[in-house]
Amino acid sequence: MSKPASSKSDRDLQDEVIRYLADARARNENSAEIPLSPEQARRAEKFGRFLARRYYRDRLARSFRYSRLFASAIGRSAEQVVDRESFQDFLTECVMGSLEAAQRVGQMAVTYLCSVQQPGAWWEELLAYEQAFFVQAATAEPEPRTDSPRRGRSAVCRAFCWNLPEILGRLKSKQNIGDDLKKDVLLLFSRTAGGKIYVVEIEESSELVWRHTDGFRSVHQIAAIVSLPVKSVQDTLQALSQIGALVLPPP
Amino acid sequence: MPSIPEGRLSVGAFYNPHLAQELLRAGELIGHLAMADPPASDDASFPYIRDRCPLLVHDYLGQLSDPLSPHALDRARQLQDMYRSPWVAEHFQCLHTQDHDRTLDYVFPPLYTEEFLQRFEANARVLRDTVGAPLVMENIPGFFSLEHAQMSEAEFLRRFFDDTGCGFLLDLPHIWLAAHYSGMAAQDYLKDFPLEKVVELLVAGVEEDRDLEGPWIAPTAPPQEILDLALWVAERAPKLRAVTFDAFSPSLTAETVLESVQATRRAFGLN
Repeated sequence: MSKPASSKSDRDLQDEVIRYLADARARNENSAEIPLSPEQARRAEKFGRFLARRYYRDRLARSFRYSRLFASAIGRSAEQVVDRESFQDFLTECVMGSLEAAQRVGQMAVTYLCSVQQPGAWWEELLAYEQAFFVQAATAEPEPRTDSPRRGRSAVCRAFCWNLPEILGRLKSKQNIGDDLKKDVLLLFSRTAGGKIYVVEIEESSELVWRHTDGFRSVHQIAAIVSLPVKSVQDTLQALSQIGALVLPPP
Repeated sequence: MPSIPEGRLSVGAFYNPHLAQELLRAGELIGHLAMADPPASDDASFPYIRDRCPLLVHDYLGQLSDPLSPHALDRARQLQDMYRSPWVAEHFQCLHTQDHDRTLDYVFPPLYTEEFLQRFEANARVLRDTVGAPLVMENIPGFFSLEHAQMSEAEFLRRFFDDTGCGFLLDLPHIWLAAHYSGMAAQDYLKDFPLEKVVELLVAGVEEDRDLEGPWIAPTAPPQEILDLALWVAERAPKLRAVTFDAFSPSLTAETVLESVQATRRAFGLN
């Protein structure tokens, strides 16, 4: 077995192989300069699909674990979407770990689980919670460096009219969910560079700071827009960056 | 903390937190537990598990194709401090890009070349020195091959173990799959592997996969063919100390784990 002459390091070539396997579009275009025979390219294509299906099945099972408690009652669970015919199209286009793919699969799961006899009036909100969680769990792209504060790539803020944190507790302990759990809550979903996922209830003022942190505005500009003292905005940005909801410029 | 006894083969499994009570009730049946993840902070059973059972570090410490970060090395040291494992395991894998932009999130082998051999050897030595325990390395199967390799998997592994003095964690389903997709019998595929370096064996099941249109690893009981292969290897592996049922999944049942360990013990004449 001899190595063909090339200026590229073997480690760089391995990176190309990893990108090729993770990105179905690269495989379709066959643009990568990877030394694969036609037969081995067909095998690599199979392996790429295997990896993506496995990845999303795992993330769906972990993220939609509360709706899964009703799997026998409704005859469905989120991870079943990866075995449906419609997922085949996704496998020929997806970039594994990308935000776009996570959003697409999350929506597939919600659509699939919505079209059933719903276990309660809170069902769609539970699915929205799990969808936002899934987007964090299935997005693996690193955050690019930034010159101005900006929102984390996968971070999501969502208003609920049911008290979701309390509902999850009751589902876990198999208690009934009644109208007493109707309550407006604002939840922020985020993911750190190390992969730790946070779901936190935030105040409207913090949400306002988060929403106006767009990667273009300075701290002073954000403070002016939200009508808060600069120090208060700085503290909020710092706290949100620690849970991956924001990315700050390097010091 | 308990330890794996010298001079006696230990048969164990992976720690699946949702099966902690059943594992504790199994008593002497489970000789050791391999830890794929650190215990969760709310895992009330883990202190009892640690008091009763020898633990093996089998976490993702980092890919040894690249230098490990100070954070990764520190984490490896902390895990070893917690488990007091007789050896620490890592894999012959390279699954994420150097810029961390893309990951396969699954075991994937490196190119078998001189450059990768040097990278693995250098980074393995750093990890071993950091944790202060023997390092064992697990073989990883490929499903396709590039026209770029400079040596076979067996030669890559043999040279790595000879140069570093690390131990061999031989994953038998991985070997079985590599042999299957090479159109060879597993024993023939193993012919050039350094079995004399094997410290631990992994056994598990295989199942048909729709994308691969062929078999792949599954969290199911090891079939007799894998157990026979394990015995065949054991007869050629004088340093073998442990056999582990390699399954880690929230869907895994206690019955599968306990029956698999019992079947493995039976295969080795330990029941």
